[in-house]
Amino acid sequence: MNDVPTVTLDAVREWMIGYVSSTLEIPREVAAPDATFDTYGLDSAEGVIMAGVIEEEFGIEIDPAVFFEDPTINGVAAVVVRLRREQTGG
Amino acid sequence: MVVEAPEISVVVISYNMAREIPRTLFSLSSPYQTLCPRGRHEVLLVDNGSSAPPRPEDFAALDVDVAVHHWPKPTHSPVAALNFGLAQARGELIGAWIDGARLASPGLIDACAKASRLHARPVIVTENRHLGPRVHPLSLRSGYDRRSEDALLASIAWETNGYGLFGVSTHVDSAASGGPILESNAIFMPRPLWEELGGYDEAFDSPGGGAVNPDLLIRACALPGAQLIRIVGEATFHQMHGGATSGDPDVFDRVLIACSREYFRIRRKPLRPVRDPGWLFDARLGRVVSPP
Repeated sequence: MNDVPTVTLDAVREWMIGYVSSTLEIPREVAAPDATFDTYGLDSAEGVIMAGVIEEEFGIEIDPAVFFEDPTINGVAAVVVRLRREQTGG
Repeated sequence: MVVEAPEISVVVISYNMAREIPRTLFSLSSPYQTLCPRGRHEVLLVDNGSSAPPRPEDFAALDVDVAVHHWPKPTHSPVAALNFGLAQARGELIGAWIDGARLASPGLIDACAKASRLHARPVIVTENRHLGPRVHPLSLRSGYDRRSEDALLASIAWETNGYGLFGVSTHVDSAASGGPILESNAIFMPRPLWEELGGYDEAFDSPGGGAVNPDLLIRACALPGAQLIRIVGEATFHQMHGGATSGDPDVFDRVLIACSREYFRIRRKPLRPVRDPGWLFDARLGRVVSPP
């Protein structure tokens, strides 16, 4: 039996909003899930740094290219949920 | 005979940089560095296990006091070697070059010295730039290599035209204009601040030191009463050397991710750039230009 907790899209999205608002010191409502990262000042290097924290937090390995393919909280959160399921079964 | 300590010490780390270190040390020598006559500063070159370690006689012709040390316990991280160098420094103002492949602009040392007199607890950072058309992991993709870099440097006669380096390099971040800064590859602080910090944290043992340099900057800026001062108009210029974070572009992002993970594991918080704009000090104008 797989005992890795399932991670939901909502949970990842909330985590990312918290991360972005805390890192950039912006209100949570500014970190809109459908807005591209550059609209609120998250540059590519900070995106890659976030990838490292995501790997630690969710126990996955993520290709930083996802931050360029769909550079939004919703886009990356969906990838995290998929990778979590594929790589850990959670 | 009493030998007077220099005002400023600069600690430079090398590892297999036979091409780059002579240029770096030239850029720190007296004829090149303005207002730095012999004796004002010393350079401590600490080699971290090069296959052909630098020798003192390699730099005898340079007009600068260079002490060459060979760190006896080299690893893939420069952190212990760097702390060793910091412990040898005799100056009251100490600068650290975690990556020895960086040329200085001609007024960098004097600018940092002037900035150090603006505040009792200054954390002085300088801009990081990469030689060539783009940051090195991207330049590499378009065929830029050591040979083209050698030609680029020769084309501007940089030894007598140090500020020409700005025209053949690219900025890495917006640190010089007060934007977020992740690290400074030439960071200067008074000796007491280095002592309060305990130098670089040797818990960071990734190749190249991982996130140790950002960690140092974050911790320095968090010291009580510390004042971040960013130098305007001076910089260091990274020579391509295939180091831990400047080589293969496909590897670069994974290295940065590994740095982020290591930082998170050690500090239990995400790695963040320093966003405090601090003071922008333009040494050529001799004043803080921001805030006005």
